[in-house]
Amino acid sequence: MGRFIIRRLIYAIPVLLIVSILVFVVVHKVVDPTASLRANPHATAADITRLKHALGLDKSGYHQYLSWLSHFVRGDWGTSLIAGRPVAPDILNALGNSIVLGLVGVIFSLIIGVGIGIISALKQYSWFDNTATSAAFFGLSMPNFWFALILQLLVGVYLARWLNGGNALLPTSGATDPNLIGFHLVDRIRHLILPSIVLAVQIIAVYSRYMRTSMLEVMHSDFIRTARAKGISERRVIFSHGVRNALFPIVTQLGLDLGTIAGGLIVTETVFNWPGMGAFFIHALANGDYPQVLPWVVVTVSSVILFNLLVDIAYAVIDPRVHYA
Amino acid sequence: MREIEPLPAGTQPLPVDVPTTAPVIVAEMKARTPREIAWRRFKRHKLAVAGAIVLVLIVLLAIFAPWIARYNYGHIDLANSLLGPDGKHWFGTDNIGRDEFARVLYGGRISLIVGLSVALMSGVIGTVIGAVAGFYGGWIDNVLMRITDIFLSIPFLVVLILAVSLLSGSVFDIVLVLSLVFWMPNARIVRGVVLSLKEKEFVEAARSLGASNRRIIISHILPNSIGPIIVIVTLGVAQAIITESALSFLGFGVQPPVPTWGNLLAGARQFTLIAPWMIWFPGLFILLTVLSVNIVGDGLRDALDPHQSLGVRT
Repeated sequence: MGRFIIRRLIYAIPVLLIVSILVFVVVHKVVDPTASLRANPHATAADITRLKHALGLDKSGYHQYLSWLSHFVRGDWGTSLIAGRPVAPDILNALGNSIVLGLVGVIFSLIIGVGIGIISALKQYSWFDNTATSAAFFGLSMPNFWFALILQLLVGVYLARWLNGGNALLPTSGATDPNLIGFHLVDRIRHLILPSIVLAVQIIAVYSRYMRTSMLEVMHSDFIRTARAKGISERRVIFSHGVRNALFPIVTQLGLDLGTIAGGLIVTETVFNWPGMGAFFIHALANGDYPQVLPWVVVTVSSVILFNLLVDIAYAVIDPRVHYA
Repeated sequence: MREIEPLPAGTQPLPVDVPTTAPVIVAEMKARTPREIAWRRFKRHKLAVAGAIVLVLIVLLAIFAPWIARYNYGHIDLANSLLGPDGKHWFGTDNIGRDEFARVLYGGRISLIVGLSVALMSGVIGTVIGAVAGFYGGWIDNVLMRITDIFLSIPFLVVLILAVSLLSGSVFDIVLVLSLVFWMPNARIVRGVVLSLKEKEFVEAARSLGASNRRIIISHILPNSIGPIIVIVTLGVAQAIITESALSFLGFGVQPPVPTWGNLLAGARQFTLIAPWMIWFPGLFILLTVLSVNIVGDGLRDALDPHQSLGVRT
């Protein structure tokens, strides 16, 4: 087990290197951070050269990448080309916002999705099951950015006009009210509601489907028949024997989903102006700010790799049939 | 390969040794080709048939857009900007007076073409790579699967955005880039199917008759994995339409003035409060299209590839 973990962690290093080089090359090719200065009629060619020198852009791409890398591995995450501020606090801030949104969305979806899946499986083909199936189809087919826009319309316009004299029932943008100073829990929660609903709809659809399939399979297996034959109460058969075993595939999916939280939700964060990792990436890319994009990529990809590993470890812990050499 | 269709519901199954001379039963036991069986199974799935009809309607609307829409999609009419839906402009007009109905129909052309091309292209790439990896195994399989892993560890919207920003944002570029991201799950599925098929007796029989690897893959393995591949391609259309519209919405997809459902929504965003119809119609078309493609795909899965069913409907 220990060797398995070490091997997987070592394997992550070349992946991170390759991904960061690819991203560096693309960002370098695509956007010019001096574009805004070039557009300024008062800027002379000497100014542009001076700026390039100050940012280190006059060196070759190879040099820039290696210099970034050597600083990065020593814990120096560099400064943003545009804002001139250290990158690390900004990324940590965005990461915090994405984790809050992601965790709230995933945890609610997990509870609701698993619940729907269990009931659907126990009452297969009942009206509940059929409704859940149709709803899941809708959830999986819903373009999330459009759903987000519709929610903004509903809460900010239609319901607002109808119930609240034109004032939005819930904030439809941002993570906090800019007029409030300090931390206000209620305000934070109110800002979280709409984006986490958008996130939840799709995850609930996926989880409820997985849980239903898995639960159906488990409830038809021999050990459930044995448990019933022993005379255990139906409640215990369902929860201690059925649900516990049916949760295995959900654990996989949950682990993978948790791993992607660090990357943020590009679309949802854009629509709701949520200052998370997705919005951070779009912004940094638009500015050609490679000192911001590269740590972003490293954090995002590391998180995916790490959680993939955790899923495999969790599997070995909860399922004694699984062994790693 | 012929199969006996199961008896219709309500008929008592016959014990094996009873002579099948009763005329009614003999008629029911007629052998069918796999294609007939699949078609009968698909027709039984009422929802899938309804989905197929809706899909055909949307495709017809897009194809015949020039004859259906009363206005040209690019016709600017500033005097009639931001009009709500009425008898003249069914879906209203946008901020520079262009007819939304025409724009949604023409946008559908692009979105459907992108969806279909991406699904076909990534289906072909995925099938070739999956079949090669699964059939030959060894280091070929290892290399191909490691590449897949690396790509899957970056959120795919990020890969797309980076790749698109290298190119120009024409429809062709978008199809290319989306296909390059979408083949990987297909390759995995086809690889799995091929892995199980290559151990089957009919492959061994073909090999013992002296068939080359190429011939075995093309004439024996691929025809037998066509069911899962059709399902992958169909569901791929839905995925591609959603992804293209998300990309265009973020400004990284097909660039205006070419309308697609995604960039129509991107353009509508700043008018959400004063012109909500600009949000409603393109989105409803995306939802309806993707929903019916998914339902048809699920019906096809039940009909062609019953083992793969996610249990969405049985």
